[in-house]
Amino acid sequence: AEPDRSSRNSRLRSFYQQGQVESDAASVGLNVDPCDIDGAGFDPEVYLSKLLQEQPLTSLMAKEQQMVDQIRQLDSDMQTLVYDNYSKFISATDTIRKMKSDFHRMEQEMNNLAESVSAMSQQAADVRQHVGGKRAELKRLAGVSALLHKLQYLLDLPARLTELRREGAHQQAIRAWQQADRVLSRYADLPSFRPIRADCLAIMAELRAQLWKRFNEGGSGTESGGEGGSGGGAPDARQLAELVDLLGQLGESEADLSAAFLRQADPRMQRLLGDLEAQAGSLQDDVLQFVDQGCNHLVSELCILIAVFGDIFPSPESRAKLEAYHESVMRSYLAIVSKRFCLEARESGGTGDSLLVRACDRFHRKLQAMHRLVTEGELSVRALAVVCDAAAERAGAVRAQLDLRLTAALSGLRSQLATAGARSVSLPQLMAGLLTELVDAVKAALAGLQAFLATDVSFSLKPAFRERFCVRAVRQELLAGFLNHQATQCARLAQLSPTPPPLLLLLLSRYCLDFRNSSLHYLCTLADEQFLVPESPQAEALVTPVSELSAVYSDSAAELLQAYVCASGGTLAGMLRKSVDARDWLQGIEPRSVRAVVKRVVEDLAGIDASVSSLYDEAPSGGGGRGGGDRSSDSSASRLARRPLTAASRSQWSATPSTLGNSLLHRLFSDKVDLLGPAEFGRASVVSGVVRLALKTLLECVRLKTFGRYGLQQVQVDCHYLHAFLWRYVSDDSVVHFLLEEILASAAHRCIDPVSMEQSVVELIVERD
Amino acid sequence: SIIKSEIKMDIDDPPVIYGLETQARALCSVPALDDSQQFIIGTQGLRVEHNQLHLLTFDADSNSVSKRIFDHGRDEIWSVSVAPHNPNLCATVFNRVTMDSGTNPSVAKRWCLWKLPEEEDNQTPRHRNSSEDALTSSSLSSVESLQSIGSIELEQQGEPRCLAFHPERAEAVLVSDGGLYQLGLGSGAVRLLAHLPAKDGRSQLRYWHAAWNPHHSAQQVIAACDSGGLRGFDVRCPPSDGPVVVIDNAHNGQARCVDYNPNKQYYLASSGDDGAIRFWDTRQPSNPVKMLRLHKHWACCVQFNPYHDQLVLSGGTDAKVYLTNNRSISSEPVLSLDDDLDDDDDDDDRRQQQPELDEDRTVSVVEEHEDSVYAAVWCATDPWLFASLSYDGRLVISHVPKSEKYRILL
Repeated sequence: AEPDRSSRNSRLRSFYQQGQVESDAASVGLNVDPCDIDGAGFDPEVYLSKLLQEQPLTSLMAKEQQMVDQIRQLDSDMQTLVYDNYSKFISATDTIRKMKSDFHRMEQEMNNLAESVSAMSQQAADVRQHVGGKRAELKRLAGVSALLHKLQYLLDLPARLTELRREGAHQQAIRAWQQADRVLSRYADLPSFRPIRADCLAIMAELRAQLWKRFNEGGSGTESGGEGGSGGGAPDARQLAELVDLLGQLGESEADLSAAFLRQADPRMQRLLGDLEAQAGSLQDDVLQFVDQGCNHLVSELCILIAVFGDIFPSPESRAKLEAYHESVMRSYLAIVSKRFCLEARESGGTGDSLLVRACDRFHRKLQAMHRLVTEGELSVRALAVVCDAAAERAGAVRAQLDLRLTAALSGLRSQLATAGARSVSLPQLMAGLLTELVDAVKAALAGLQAFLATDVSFSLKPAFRERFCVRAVRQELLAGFLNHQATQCARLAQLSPTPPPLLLLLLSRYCLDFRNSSLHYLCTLADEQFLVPESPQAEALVTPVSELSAVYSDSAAELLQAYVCASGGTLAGMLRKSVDARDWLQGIEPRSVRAVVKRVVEDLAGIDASVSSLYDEAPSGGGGRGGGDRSSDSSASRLARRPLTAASRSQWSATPSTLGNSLLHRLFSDKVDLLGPAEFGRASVVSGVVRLALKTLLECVRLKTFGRYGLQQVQVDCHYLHAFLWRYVSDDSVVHFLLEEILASAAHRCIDPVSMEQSVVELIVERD
Repeated sequence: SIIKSEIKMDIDDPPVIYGLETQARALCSVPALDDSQQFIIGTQGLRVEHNQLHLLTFDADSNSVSKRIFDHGRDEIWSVSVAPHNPNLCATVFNRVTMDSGTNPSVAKRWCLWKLPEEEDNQTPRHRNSSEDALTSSSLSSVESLQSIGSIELEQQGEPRCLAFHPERAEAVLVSDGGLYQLGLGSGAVRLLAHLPAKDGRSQLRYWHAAWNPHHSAQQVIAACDSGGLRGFDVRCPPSDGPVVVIDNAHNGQARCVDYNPNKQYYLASSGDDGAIRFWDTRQPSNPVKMLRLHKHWACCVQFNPYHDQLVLSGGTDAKVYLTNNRSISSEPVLSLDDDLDDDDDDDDRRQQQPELDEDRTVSVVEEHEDSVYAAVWCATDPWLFASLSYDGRLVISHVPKSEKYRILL
């Protein structure tokens, strides 16, 4: 409680020191606790009794001491306060006394002031009285003086203008003239002004002419000192702007000026375009340099031109004019660039990709930047179109190279087959070589073109570029186009007359089949991945589907195989036909042996069989002959053996001409045999196709001849020989049976003395051979 | 000979089948003066006593065939042709077997011109065959005899193949191993006008078939060679001038038949052992205008329809006869512009519905044959009728399908 009270006392003190009494606030703020010694409701009796009742003696003693101290303190405080108040009262009394004496002196000075003011007003009235008459005169004189100044200025104006003009201070000259002209034109009818005005007009006309001249010279007037930075005779656009500004102030119309501005800028543009055009026609400079030149000179200047023009001529009409001009320049420029790029794309060899890509990239970036300056005209779209064209052209060039490669590969294969005999080359190896070569060529082509899609290339991610280049140019025109071309090119060989070597047809047939199975899908997927062809319906609409290509390859393979059958069958058939034609079947000796040509046919057939089986498997995909099953269990070595002359086989077929009856029966009871159906992709089907073709031809040739007895018997022997050796090559024995029977029957029919040979003799002769 | 005539019923156009007992190769259409639809066929029987020529008249109303038979003796007939300007004048190429002293038989190919006797009126009804009296009528038929006009021996003749009558004049060309012999047939006698030897430089050629060019008053004749080439000659030039048209390697193998487009100059068709039909423009002989690969073996004959040259008939040793429409290379206009302008929408619609409508296509295939077809000809008087003959002696007279007919006519 002790510090509490002392702080309260100090507060009380400060309150009194301020000399303000707030008794109300004090009485309200006091507590009513009777035991609070500082409170308003302090009751000493209560406090004392309370103390006496509650406190022990020692604390009472202490309390008493404390109270005595406090009372003493309070007394001294009170004394101090009283003294303070007293001294303040004394000083206030002093102050009042001093003020009283000061007021006396001030009154005296005020009286003096009033006197002076009245004297001044007296004098002013006097002056007004004196001066009043001459004020109008003074005013007039001042006006005359000013007018004379102005006239002097006008009279000096021609000289001044000349001076300014000579100094090249055109701006000041024009400003001066403009100011003077207002007056001169107003008083133009006064004779004294007329010559001045005429002089000035002449000078200004001269000035104007001078400005126009400089303007037309390209702003690089010799007398102009400003903008020293413009180098090498290039038109300084800023100077031009200044000139245009001056001329505009001289009252030239904006349309004239803007037209003149463009006209003035045009020759230089045309010269730059001409330079570029000249370069575009040749591959002498590299394409990057070409782009740099175009960008640094033409495009930069065009940019400056556009910027300056825009500043000087802000009106919409001028803007339209600028756009038209800009459009025409850009059109020429884009055409030139496109021409150069396409030339580069076409002519540069395999290494040109990166250079072209970099050139395209640089070009595209520059024009994109320019597009930001000139938003109209779809500049960046058109630049992209140029790039697209170049890229597509490149893809086309690559495609052309691939086509050449294919042609070379095919003719190489052809000559390889022609020089090395049929037996000495491994057909599967040749085919694998061809497959690898062409697939690698396609892959290399695709890889080369990927340079266009590098991530640092500015246009590589543009959707328009993707669509045009990736989907259309590469995926469709290059890849699908080439694949289709390859298939049709192979198939075209099948239709050639005279037919190409049969082995080539066989090889290519298998090649088409293998390509379809192994590489077609792979290449298409590869391209899809490498060139990020989207799986959207739009993209799919543009691209030939793989299934369609696959069908083309299947068709080509089938066509080639059929052509092979026709060609090799035709070779055998030709041999048989010539031998039948050449022989005199009417006169002749009894047959002793099988004719050499028949043996030769069987030998050749073995060769054909070997070639075919090196490329095609035994079992065709379904639809093989009925006899295919048991033969496939034979080892290939047994194929060289002749038919075992078991009783069963003999009973099955005899070399006796059964006359027409047998074949009629055959026809009656068997379905119409499709003698010359299409060959399937299998050894048996192919070879039996060849056999059937040869036998059918033999049949037709026999029908054109007339036979004697021994002629018929010779046919008997030949047929038996064929029967003994052909079975192993065919998928369906019954067709061979039927054809051999027909041959025999026809020979018998065409025989004037049909006496057939004993079966045992026939067998003997065949056995001996 | 037993002759049976049967009618095979079909929904559209039932083909009429006429059977011979012996084999046959020779077939020709007869340009009858009364516009009746006639064909003539010859039998090829080596050991037969009586080979015959059958002159068949097709009756469209009853869909049946009536016949006249002419005796050709023991000589088997390889080829028959009838003069376009005279339906009674016919020529055959035949094989004559002579047995000298029984042991050493010899066979020789010969040719002869014949005059078919005029038909007697009262014979016609007796010979009319329909399916009902096929068997009975055969016994009733009488065999008429041919009147030989003559033949001449020609130098280096070799084996004759066939005789091609000139389309307008009384002339013919005999095709033989020795070359082409231009014969004059006027004033009742045969005489040799010119001989075009079958030589190609030094190598010997063998001609198989020949056809006159019907344009420019028919001064050119073209022959099919066994080397696969075609050789065209102008009969106004001396033979030493050599061919005016040379198409080498027209076919891989032998060229079997050749025919000029009757309505489009310079265009011709050829068929051969490679089974292909090729169409040529004689002004550009290096490449065919078009190729058809329909036959699976030899294509033995090919002929343009004499009226609507887009229709082409071909027969082959695969026992098939193909009727194709080759509109794209025919004399028919491609598609009249008027149509397009008049009803654009209708036309487009129609084309979308039937996109194959104006494309070249195979119109029909005669499946009735079971043996090689060596001859197929158009009827000379009816553009919608054709006949084909297979080796087993079966003649099939077929119609152009009605749908195709209307498509061409309308």
